[in-house]
Amino acid sequence: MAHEVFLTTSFTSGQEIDLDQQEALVRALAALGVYDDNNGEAILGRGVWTPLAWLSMEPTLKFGSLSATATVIVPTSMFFVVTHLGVTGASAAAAATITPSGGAAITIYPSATAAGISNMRPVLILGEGDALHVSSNMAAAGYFCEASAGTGTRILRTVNNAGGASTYTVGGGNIFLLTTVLSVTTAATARIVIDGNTGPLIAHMVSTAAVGALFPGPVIPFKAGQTIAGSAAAPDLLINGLEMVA
Amino acid sequence: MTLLPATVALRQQFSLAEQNSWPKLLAAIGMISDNGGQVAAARSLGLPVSIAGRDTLLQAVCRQGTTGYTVAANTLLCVRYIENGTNPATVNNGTATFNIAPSGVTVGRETCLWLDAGDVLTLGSATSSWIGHEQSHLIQADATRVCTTATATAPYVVPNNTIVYITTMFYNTNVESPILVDGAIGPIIGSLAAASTMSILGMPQPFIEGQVIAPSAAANTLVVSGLSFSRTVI
Repeated sequence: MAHEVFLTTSFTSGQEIDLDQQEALVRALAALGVYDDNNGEAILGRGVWTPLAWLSMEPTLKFGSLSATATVIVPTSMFFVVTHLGVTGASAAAAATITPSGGAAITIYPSATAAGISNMRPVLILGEGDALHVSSNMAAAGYFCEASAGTGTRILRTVNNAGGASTYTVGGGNIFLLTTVLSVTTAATARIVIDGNTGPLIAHMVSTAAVGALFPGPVIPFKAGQTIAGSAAAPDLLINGLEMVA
Repeated sequence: MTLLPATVALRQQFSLAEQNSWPKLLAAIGMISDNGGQVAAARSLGLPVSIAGRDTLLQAVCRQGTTGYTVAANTLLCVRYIENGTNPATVNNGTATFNIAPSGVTVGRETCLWLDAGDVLTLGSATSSWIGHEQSHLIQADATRVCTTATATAPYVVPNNTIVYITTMFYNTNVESPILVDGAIGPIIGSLAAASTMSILGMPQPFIEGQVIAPSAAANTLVVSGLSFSRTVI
């Protein structure tokens, strides 16, 4: 962009916005395909089911992929949104792990012969310093994008039924958008537990019931204070998504 | 109430009242512009940013077992995943109770089934479960959920002056067969028990007034769900 204008994060009633700021707002709204027909309320309705397109002007947006015993480490101030995981052979053993920045590796695709379940469509959001590793016979793809201010923080961690730090609680004043939940153990499943209420079994990626392991597309939103846990001590459930100021 | 125009010319001047409408618009989607407008897209990440924090009814919800779940007043429930058991799962939409899944479903299926205040979702067994989210009616005043059935003799017809974003369609018996849209054969649709990925449409599909959705087999009943809007405000 030749001429960038930055808007303030809050407005005062009656505040006058200068012409450049107006144009920035128009661009922002145009990017959403939004115009106002309900004093602001309409946007909420439209966005409920409409994943928003990226701005073509977003300078860091680009496709990314890796395969065959490769690792990608997400660069500074970037996200890598993994939207595809698949084996490259019809009956090949393959595996994938993620390593949260500063943490321990988590197996997300257990080494297995993946006949019939060779392609998964997660919405796995990796943040700065996170790593994704795929074994031989394995490939991943997605897109890199800017993790700019206001976008939120990626949550990438495990939960179980041990209580304490093993339960995830959405931060005060925040919302958490859950994009992926899966078991990180090859042969076991556990149920997701939200606010103490037990929900569906969560499988691992190699399970034939793996549709229960992923929620691609529309996400499941959590409000501040909601808790997410697993129903058992094992397996751990990996939860992933974005948390941002409400 | 000041409404902004549907189109904006480059360097168009806005009244003060119009200017004040912009922040409300942006706040409604939880958007903070700190990057010359680019954050609007960055923040979305292709996700539904509509789920704004100002919606006090917004929350994730899940349940297990056969106790019917009644959607609370002023609330929309979007069921994202159902894992049913030995008996059929049902929905009561205020008009009728109909099966949404055949018996014997032991594996779950993703869906995007919208229920409204007063609707009741009942699963088939103690181990059955579902997960989804609730939100308020912070949508256009005329928006309603569609959650109904269609048969060969009683197809679903989009009402006049309406656009319906269908988010899920599936058979409520254990069959797979094509759907008919305006009489033309479409993709094969399964049930929540079937392995067919076409049980779920994934991205919402727009259907406009007069379009007709029906199962291709006379004996089958199709469950159709989505959100309906008046065309006058689109």
